Amino acid sequence: MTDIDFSQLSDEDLALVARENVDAFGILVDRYEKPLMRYILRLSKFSKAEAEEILQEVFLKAWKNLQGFDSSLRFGSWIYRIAHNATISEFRKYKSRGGEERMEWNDELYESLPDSIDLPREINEKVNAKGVRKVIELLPEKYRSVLVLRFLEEKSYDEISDILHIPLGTAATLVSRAKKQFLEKAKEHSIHFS
Amino acid sequence: MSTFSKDIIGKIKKEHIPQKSKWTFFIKYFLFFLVFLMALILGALAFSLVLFAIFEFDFELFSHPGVSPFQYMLTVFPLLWLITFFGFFFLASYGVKHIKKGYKLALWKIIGGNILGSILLGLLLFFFGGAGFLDQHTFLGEHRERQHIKFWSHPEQGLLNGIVGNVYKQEKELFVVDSQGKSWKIEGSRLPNHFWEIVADDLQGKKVKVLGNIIAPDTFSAEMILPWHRGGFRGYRMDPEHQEKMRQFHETPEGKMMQRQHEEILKKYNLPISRHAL
Repeated sequence: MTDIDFSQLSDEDLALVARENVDAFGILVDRYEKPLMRYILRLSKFSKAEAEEILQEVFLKAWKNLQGFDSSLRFGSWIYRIAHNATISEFRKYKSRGGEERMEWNDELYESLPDSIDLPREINEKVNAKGVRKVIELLPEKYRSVLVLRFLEEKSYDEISDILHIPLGTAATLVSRAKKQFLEKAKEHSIHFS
Repeated sequence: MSTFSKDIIGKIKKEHIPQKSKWTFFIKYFLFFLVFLMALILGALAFSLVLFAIFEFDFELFSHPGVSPFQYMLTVFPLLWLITFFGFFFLASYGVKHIKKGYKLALWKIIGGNILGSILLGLLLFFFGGAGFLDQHTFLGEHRERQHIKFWSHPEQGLLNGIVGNVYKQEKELFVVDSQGKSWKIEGSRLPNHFWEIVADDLQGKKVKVLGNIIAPDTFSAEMILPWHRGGFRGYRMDPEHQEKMRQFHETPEGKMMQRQHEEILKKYNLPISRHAL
């Protein structure tokens, strides 16, 4: 089988083939490299190089655990969960070393984000991606995760439920609370959306 | 393929990074399911023992002036089983959360389902006699039994427990050997007639609770005589230690004298000598 053959398969079928064929896994890496890189950067305050290290760890972990992938679930949710756990774990280690204080606002990082951020529209119909990112970083981890997944990664509640391993209702509640917190934090830090 | 994916695939191939066996995942889920199932069953068992203990409560005591209901509940309430029940309930909930797609279940569904499951199973165990059997034939009931005996071992407060020896219906008297091995003459003129007409016939050798008061050093006036277990005067457990104390009492001069007196009375009324006689 060639790469072209693999590329016609769905992620889930590809994951099943990849259990026996490492090249098929390569196609999955291709498909998820950019979205996961973006997700890691959005969720954390890591530099691109640090995020790349985490991303490599994510794919290696996915490879090792591929036999445990439940094909009744979306592959995307499964690998996002691995990325989520790896990022949060690394971010906590980073924070415990006092990393948060040393971290400066990274404009380069912000610039690397796509322009399609519509969270402000979702929240108050105003667009200011930089402000959004600043406010998101002020939120507690659980709210930050759901906001990034819902509005930046544009995941459905069902996907959020699978990624964060929470009930569907809880995902919806968390998003709603996160939106409220978002507005409160924005007001608190005098961040206005133009 | 991008450079990044080529690097990843290259690393996997070069270092021969293996995949975990599918059995690892199967066993993991199976173990979590087992934790859930065992916790549910053990929770049900604990719940059935709570029920059994509650059904053993002596609610009649609440009207007795010498007994504080609060103190009574403090002594006999099956708090240990209740805590055990909740412990297993939390363990079952933990198990459910970790089985396949268990995280999809809302907390109220997990709590409700586990409580309902444990209660239904517990009720089945209770009504089919499983709880009673476990309480009386295994170590599981020892604590409750000890507390029960402790509470009923205060003759000075009107609370006496023991095994019935001789019964003298005409005199409305019977003898009870308490859990300390001491023999008591129970004066039963205050007991209702039906007690002497029906219950007293089948009382010898049975374990009872006697509510009343001491009227002489070895004599207790009974206000109420209750079976040791709620199930009635049948199907009770005779405590082997208590049985041994009774046997020892029979060997004492007092016990032997009681035996002779009993036989004399039986002869006097031309009654057959009971095989249960002291």
